[in-house]
Amino acid sequence: MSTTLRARAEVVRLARLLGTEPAELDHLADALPPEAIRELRDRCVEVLFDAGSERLRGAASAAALLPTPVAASLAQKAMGPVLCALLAGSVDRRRTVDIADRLPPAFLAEVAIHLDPRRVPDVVAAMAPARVAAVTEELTARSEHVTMAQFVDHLTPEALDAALAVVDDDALLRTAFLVDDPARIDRIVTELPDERVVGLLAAARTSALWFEVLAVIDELGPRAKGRLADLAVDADRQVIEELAAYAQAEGLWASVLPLVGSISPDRRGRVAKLPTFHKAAVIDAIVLAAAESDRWADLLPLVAELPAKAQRRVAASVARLDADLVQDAVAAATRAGLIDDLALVLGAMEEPDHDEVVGAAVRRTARDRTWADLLPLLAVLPPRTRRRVAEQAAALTDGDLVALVRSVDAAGLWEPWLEVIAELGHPTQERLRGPMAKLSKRALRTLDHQVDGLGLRGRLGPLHDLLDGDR
Amino acid sequence: MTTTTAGRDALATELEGPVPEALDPLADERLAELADLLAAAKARQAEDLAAGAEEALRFVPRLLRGPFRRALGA
Repeated sequence: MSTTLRARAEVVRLARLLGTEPAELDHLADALPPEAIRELRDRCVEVLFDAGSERLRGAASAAALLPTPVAASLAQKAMGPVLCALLAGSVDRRRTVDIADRLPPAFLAEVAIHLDPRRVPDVVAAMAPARVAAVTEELTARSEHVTMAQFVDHLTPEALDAALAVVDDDALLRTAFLVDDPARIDRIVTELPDERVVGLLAAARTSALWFEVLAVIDELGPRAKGRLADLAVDADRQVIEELAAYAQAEGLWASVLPLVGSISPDRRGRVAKLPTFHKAAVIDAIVLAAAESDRWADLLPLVAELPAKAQRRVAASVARLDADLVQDAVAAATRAGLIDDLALVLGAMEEPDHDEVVGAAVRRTARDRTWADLLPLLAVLPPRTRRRVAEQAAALTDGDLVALVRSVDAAGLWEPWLEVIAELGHPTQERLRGPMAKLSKRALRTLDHQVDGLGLRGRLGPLHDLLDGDR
Repeated sequence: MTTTTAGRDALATELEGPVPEALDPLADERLAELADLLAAAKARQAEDLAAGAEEALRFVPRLLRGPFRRALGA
């Protein structure tokens, strides 16, 4: 969940505790992180309960004198929900549960609203699933999502299942969005049947709850995320279109990209066909989000499925990025084994973008000595890009060339590099002679075979002698 | 320039301990508002408890009213 929204949820809880309207405390969400508001709330809970503790203990021992039916009647008719919530932590657990069992769900819902479940976790855990379900229905009717979210962490799996069965999709989405523990959210979504997950997406459409959907997605593990992504694709195509429109309008593509990256390969093509993903403004925003949040691994597989025109637009957007961000894209694609997809983007790049991007990439790779990232890409680059790499290599210093040869040798990536060497002019080939002459005899022998295999003999200029002479 | 800490002091009193450092970004008047809210909540709670105890007696069987009163400290 976003920091701002967590802060707002904390404000609602604090306002309830202090008996004021959330609007009175809204300024806290603007000035403080959610953890700070929570710390303040915890301190208030402590002091409010400490302040009354002697009276509370007295009230608890007085309650212990009464038969359970009398205590239940007294709780409801004389004390009311606020005092019951106050006393819940002071009365014996078994007795509290017995009393609660005699109270109507509507009253228990009111108690729950004023109760901090962290004070009575064992009472909450001891509630029968059917009671929990009945109270959940009441809380749903009151739109008490903040309250329900607080209790989720303390329910037994059986009680949670019972509650999930009675809560509607709209309320479930709004509640899941407020749950603190990501593992719980993941468990809930994982165990929901497909039709409920589809129902959550439908609720998001009906009530414009895309922010809530994105916040929930953010907390999911890879499996749950993948399932949700596929169900979203399989559902009405409007789901993806509306989510995309929302991400575009709110600048939230960085939150949508993990979902895009979770779509299974057999469904990716369907998403790539949606007109939304062909719009220039959308493509520009997605590329920028992928670059700034380093989510290339989520985006590149989809790019590979886009129509040619949209791919050219992606290439143009990439070309407009800061050179360091392009460098990160190369590294990310290499790490994720997506160099074919990145090569495709480079292939779709028009001039002079292409020459500028490749030139900058080679210069920065030489500067940062990150050849291990760029070299695998060489193997799949189109000839035009390889030529450009060769042109740039000619401008490298001798020291850079030595580092380059060492990296090529260490990575065992001679084959694509030989193709680049073949594109170099004789003076640069001559400059490579020194560092290459230092290679082991074994490496030179391997190289010699590869030169034959690639049909490059005769195109290596002064290096030909080096290889040939070592035969 | 002097910095007013009246709000911070009031909140520390109501919290019965130092104000959390996490609240440092708040202006002193905001801390004063929080102190007022907490003080009001405490007062309301005390009133509710007293009224609740009084009201509760109406539901307690006559036989148990004495011990009940004593347990409440009333």
